[in-house]
Amino acid sequence: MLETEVHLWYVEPERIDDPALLDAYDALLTPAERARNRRYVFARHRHQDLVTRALVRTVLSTYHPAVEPRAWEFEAGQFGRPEIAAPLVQPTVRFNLSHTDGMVVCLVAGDQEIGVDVEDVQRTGYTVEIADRYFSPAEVRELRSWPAERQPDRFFDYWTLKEAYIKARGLGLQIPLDQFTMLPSTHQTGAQQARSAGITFGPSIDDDPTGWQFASLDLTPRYRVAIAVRHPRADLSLRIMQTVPLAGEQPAGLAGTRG
Amino acid sequence: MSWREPVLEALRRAAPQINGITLDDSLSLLNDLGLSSRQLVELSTHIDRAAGFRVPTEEWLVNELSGERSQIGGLIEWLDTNYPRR
Repeated sequence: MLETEVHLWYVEPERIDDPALLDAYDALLTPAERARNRRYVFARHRHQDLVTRALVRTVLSTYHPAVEPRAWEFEAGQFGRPEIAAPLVQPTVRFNLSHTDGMVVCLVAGDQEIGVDVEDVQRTGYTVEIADRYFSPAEVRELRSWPAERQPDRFFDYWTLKEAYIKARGLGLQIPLDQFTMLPSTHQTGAQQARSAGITFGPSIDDDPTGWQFASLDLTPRYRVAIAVRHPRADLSLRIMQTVPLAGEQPAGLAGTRG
Repeated sequence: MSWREPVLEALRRAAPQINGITLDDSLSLLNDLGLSSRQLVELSTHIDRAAGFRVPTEEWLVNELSGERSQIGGLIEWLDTNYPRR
């Protein structure tokens, strides 16, 4: 199934307040994860982190039910991206996580490089100013061509796609954000309908734009998600599942992509 | 003049959630305060504004985030060393 699909799982952590459920999540953590969780200054971040750890563990076990959620072991790559260290399961599954206040997402695929980013488009703060500072000239030109009141929203199309790409590469901000150009769709779609996107690379990045699939979608009017998958098939499908770890999931739909 | 106050002000602007707490130099932007990547680049944009020129803060961010340190004090020290304020 993961040969032709990627799965986007999402959870709204602020909806989870059952103490028994939260205790069950805590029981899934390793001592190191628990210590890291306790370091967060804000209770909101500790809660979000706890739900995130539970999400990835329970989601991975849905693909390999013989592996208990607490049995997964992770290691961080050189630039911090968590990967499965054990058990070495077949077929391979890979995941990538992203969170923002009020939303946690986990993208799952087969043995492919994947990245995901979710952003709260209603959060105030710099948007276009960040683009001027970090985006490629072509991206800034396109962004600035939109009416001023639409530019902050358009910014999130670019930001989420760029973040999804650098996460898929596992290099984080090591990849200069102005050295590749995202080509997001201008097509307006309904809730949870994916929009495809492309990419071009500057001379300093050795990568093949035809080897990547990108999609953007709005999980809700507040949360925009982008995914990046190194996969040459244009007919890759994106399946979306809303879940509460250890309490069940419901499919939110199968999102084809539209350019 | 130290970068301390401009950095703390930039942090408060980029991450409004930290308003009201005492910012200790040992706090990690990533592991303690939970800043997102977007908040980190917004922080660097505020630092540019304070400097009046483009400061390559991403060089510090890349090194620190890969090592999961990213402490406030480290950023202030890096700026004071490489881009001293007059």
